Amino acid sequence: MSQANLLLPLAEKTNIKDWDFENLDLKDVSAPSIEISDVIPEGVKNYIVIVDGWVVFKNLENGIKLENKGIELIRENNKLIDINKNKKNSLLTVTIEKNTNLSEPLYITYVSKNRSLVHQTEIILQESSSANIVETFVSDSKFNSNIISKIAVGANANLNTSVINRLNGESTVYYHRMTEVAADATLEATNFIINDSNVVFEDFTHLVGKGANANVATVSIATKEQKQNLTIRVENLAPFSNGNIVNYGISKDSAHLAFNGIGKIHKGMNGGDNQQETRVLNLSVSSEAIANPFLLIDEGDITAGHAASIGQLDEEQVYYLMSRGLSKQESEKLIVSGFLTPFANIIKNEVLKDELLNSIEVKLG
Amino acid sequence: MTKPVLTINNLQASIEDKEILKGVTLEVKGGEIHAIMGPNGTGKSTLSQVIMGHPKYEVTGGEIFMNGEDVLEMEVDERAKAGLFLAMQYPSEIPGVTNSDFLRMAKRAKLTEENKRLSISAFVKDLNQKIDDLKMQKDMANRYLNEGFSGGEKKRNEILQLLMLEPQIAILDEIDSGLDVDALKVVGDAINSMRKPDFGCLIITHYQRVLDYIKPDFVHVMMHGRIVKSGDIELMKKIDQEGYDWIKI
Repeated sequence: MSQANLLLPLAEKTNIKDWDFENLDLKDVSAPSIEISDVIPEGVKNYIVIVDGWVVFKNLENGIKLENKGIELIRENNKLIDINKNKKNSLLTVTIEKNTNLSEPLYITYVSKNRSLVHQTEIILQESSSANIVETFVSDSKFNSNIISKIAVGANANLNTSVINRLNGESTVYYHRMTEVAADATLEATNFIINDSNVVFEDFTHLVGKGANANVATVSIATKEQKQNLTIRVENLAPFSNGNIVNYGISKDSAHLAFNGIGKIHKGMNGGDNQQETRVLNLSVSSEAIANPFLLIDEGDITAGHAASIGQLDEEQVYYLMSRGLSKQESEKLIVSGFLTPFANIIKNEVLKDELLNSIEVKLG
Repeated sequence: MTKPVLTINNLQASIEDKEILKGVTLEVKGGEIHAIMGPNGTGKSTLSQVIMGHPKYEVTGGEIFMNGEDVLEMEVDERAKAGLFLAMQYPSEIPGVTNSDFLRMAKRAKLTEENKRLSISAFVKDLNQKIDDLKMQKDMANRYLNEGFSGGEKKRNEILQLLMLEPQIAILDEIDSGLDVDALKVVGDAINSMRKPDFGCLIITHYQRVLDYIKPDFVHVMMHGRIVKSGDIELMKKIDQEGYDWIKI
């Protein structure tokens, strides 16, 4: 298919037709200088920092290899994936070798400083390995980004991965992730889409091995004029596989936030389970929050379910808290942090828990 | 310390263009306990909500002062900081926020700029002591604010907040509803323990039941949006025996 015929991502419930995804600044730049303390938390032992496509810092324990083997996982194609294939200016392949259990989390930070980030990451966990990987995307510039992430979790491997999207500035971001989870492997994914950009976020997980498991938890806080469209999809492509999607979102001011949750159990994949839950809270009269769940089932011998709720900020709650001396802003923040408590409770990493609390402070402060 | 004083002059208020308060005049000072009695639907709860500043009500006339400051000009949180407290008839549930975290924030909000530090250990000790005094369940501090509380637990939790936040003037709106006799006694003891010159209290009720445990200095009868009769505890006794019918408006 030629590029001209490719379409934009589906991004249901959001009109992205006029978004300027293609406005990418791809000029050549030299490796910018940056302070490591600005991008990597203190005490972190495994890290990689990539700025404008240059690896500027790294420190890795044994068993982590940065090899460019390449994996072909992307089953999807669209106009923006095609742009990434042809114009990427940043590439990282991380392999966790067979039987390696990383003793410390691996922090990967991508910084867009002087040009657009058109990036592709490949993360390969070989058989029976385990890793905790925290990827952070940072920008305070107005450059648009296009990011693709391919992840393969090998048989009996265990990946705990977190994506923190802090692409600030008034930019447009396309993020697409495709993960394959092999037999008896487990993926625990946490996505923090807490930025100031317009975002199309797609996280697609394929459970391809018997007994594969995926828990994908995503949180978003959209404020001001921001538009965010997030599609989280988990497909059972093997018997006895288990998928679970949890989405939490806050929409405020004039923001638009749409969550599409898609669970799909293919024919013949008996004994599988596919669950999803989406909770969104609308804080303003002019903000919009949408929960759009799909459950597509082609097999009888399975369990599946979905739950969705859209709440409005309760004026009685605000009044109650204010009557005890909290300001309107403090009351709102407290209600939001309470709303997000069930989400915070599923985050095991304390650093990320703090990140979530800070995000509430920054976005609603 | 000068005695706190809440002054209400000819207060009129309406909801959705329906006039509820038709000129209420009342003064509550430190050291005093007032009770407002009256049949259902006479504006007692409206009065308490208007004093606290519920956005649903519109003040159409009159004035409210707290220690000489214009309350009607204040936001709801400023009224709390000025020393007012309302124990609500129907407290909101705030899922995901623990009682303890909430109270700590509320306590901190009331501290002055010069004295922003709140000792966490002293706070926790104080909170646990008061939970004990109110004969509440031990896990109360760590439960989410009012979520899944029984009617009685909610009421006790309002009193817990009252004890912790130490306002100058407290309004208790139908605090006795949902409380059994034992709970009523516990709550009565708590209010009586707060009786001192720098604390005043306004109790709103349509039964005299709660007043068996908290003896008011002043009793007012409210009907049709006005205080139609004021007196002392004898007035309450007469109402208890004869109801409201004898009162001429």
